[in-house]
Amino acid sequence: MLDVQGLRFSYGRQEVLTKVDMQLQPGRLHAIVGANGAGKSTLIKLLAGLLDPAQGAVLYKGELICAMNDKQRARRMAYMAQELHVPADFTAKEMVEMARYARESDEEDEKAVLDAMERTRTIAFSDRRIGELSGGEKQRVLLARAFAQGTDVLLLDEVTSALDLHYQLAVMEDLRDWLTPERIIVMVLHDINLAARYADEIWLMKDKGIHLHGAPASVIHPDSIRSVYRVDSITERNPVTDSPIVIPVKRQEKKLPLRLHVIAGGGSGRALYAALYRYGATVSTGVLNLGDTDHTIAKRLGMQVYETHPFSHVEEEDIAAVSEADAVLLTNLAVGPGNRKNLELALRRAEKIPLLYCPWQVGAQFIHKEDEVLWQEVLAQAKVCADEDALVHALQELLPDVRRED
Amino acid sequence: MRKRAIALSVPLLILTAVLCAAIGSVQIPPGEILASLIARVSGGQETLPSSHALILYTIRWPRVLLAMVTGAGLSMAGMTLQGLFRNPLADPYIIGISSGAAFGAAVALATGIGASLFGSLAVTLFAFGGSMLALFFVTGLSRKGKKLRQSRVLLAGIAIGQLFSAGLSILMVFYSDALRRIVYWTMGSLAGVALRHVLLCLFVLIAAYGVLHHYRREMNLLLLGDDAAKSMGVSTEKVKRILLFSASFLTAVLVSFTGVIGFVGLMIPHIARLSAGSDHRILLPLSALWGAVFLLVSDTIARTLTSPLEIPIGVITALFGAPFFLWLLSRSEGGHL
Repeated sequence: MLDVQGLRFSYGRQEVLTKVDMQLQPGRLHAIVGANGAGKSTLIKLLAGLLDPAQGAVLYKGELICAMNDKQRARRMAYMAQELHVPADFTAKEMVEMARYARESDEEDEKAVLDAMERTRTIAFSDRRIGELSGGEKQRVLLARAFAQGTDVLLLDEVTSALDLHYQLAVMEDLRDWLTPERIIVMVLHDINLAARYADEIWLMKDKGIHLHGAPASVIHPDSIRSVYRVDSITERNPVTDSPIVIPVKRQEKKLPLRLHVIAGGGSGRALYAALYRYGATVSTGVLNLGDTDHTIAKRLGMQVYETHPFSHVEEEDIAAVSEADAVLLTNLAVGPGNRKNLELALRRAEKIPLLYCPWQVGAQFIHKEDEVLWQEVLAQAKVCADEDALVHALQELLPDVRRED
Repeated sequence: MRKRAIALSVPLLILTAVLCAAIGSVQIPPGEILASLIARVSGGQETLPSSHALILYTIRWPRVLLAMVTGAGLSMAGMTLQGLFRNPLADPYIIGISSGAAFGAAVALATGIGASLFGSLAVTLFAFGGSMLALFFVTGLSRKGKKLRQSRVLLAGIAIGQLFSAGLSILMVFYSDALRRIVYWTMGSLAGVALRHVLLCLFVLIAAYGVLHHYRREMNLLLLGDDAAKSMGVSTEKVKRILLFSASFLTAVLVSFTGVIGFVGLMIPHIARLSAGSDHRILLPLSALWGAVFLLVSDTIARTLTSPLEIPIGVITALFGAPFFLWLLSRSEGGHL
């Protein structure tokens, strides 16, 4: 285990890490993520013994890292960063052989070098010069070098940042393959989605320390992302790996001070929800069936969703929020017995509350025969907003009224 | 291929040495030189006429040896500092050694201090003192905490060099009667160095070579950057200090005896690197051998071209070295450092 106790560090008077405590368990891939300047690179250099802590300690299996000499430390942990100076005229194999500096036992050296190159599939170009390799190949040679050092701890600083998608995954897969129950990987990752996908444990850094840590699904959510990166986001799930995916979003800084209720369903609200989310309006929606596409979308955007179980009918008292809304927004949803009550309610409120019709869903609209009259009545009360600009314009007109009531 | 370059360079050096010893105002056939050498080594009868033997063993050989030692030494020092600073423009004088030495020599030449005590060696001793002063200023100034920062060493070196140059200029203004000797000293010469002093240089060269050879793998690792080297087990601070000191001390000793000979230390390591790569296991012997050959040829040209007038050797190294180097640079693709 790699144990970090009360670590503090500063460059001159500039404090970089205030108090870091970590217990890095073996058999796991740990990702350190956080905003620029959060101290990630400094932290991993401290773990690697390349910097001496101002206070606190790093221990590996109970031994103080900073008390080891350079060779002792190099036999326990390998460190790799984005390397700027890689002399172009060494061959790939010579580059990997450099990792054996701290070892000096020729037979094992040769084997370790070949193993590492097999593992990273760099053996094919072992006699080619570094300068002739592509960026991705070069990075894999450097990874082979880290493997060849023969340590149980790998400390990696942004080693995937300069790689294309193919090599990013290749490197991450190589790392996962290398991991055994006694080995530890700690990597600073710029890409939080890559971290979420491959790490067992995420250490989220903020304000010169660890803000949150744990399994990706428990650490990565819109609240933590906002507090670390100061950006709004929605968290999805990777359909293949089920790991969290962060989608950062840009919202308008000045929020629209309106409470809006949306009547939608079956995915007809997708574009409307997205627009309202971006403008920062307070949105309620419903009543929607659990499992409805619009239910999923609205939930993900953090909206208040009135929900009911599929195949049950909407009850009027379920939608109290409608009477508090500044406007009711209606999409070109499919109309039928399931949401008849939604429409009736909207119609009844239409005298007091403006009703805006946003038929933004492409394709034919289904209307149940029995509800055609109701639908025509609703449309007669509604103001049509053909696109986002028209909607924004209509909502702007509502603003003075709101202020007057205040 | 890289090993072969070394294997070919050793006989090349011997051959050049014999040829250069043969050339001069008195021509001694190379074959007779070899025969004499073999006879001396095997304890046989001297085969050369006594006048030739006198010229060869008291004048030519010490000078040939000094040329080889100086060429090898400056080239090794340049190679070390280029690698250490990861800067292709580094040469043995980058940290102000030459300016310090020139100032020291000028003090002795201008004021005649120490001449009563040390005779002609006073200039050498003062030059050495000046270069050591520069070395200690630079390493002292560039320490920040415990770390030796390359960029600070470079900047401090330039500043110290300028300071000593200013001092040198002042001396030249106030002691204008010594001006000519000072200028000649700064252009370098291998003439008139006694054999025992040449052997002293050789001893320092061998010691420095031993140190650099010992740290050849560390020098390779340092090319990857301090963090990478340290993480693979190199005690970077210690090694950098030792390398900087060894290269600079070697340079200081050589400069003290020969004056400032430029271009060897910059160019030869580059040529070696362009032909054999950055691996210091090969680069070190190759730089030493080719530096020796280059300065040997340059010195022979310097003393024979306009004989009996000698051209300062620094002029020759630049005059012939620079065009060759530019030609080589235009042929090679991309930089190697």
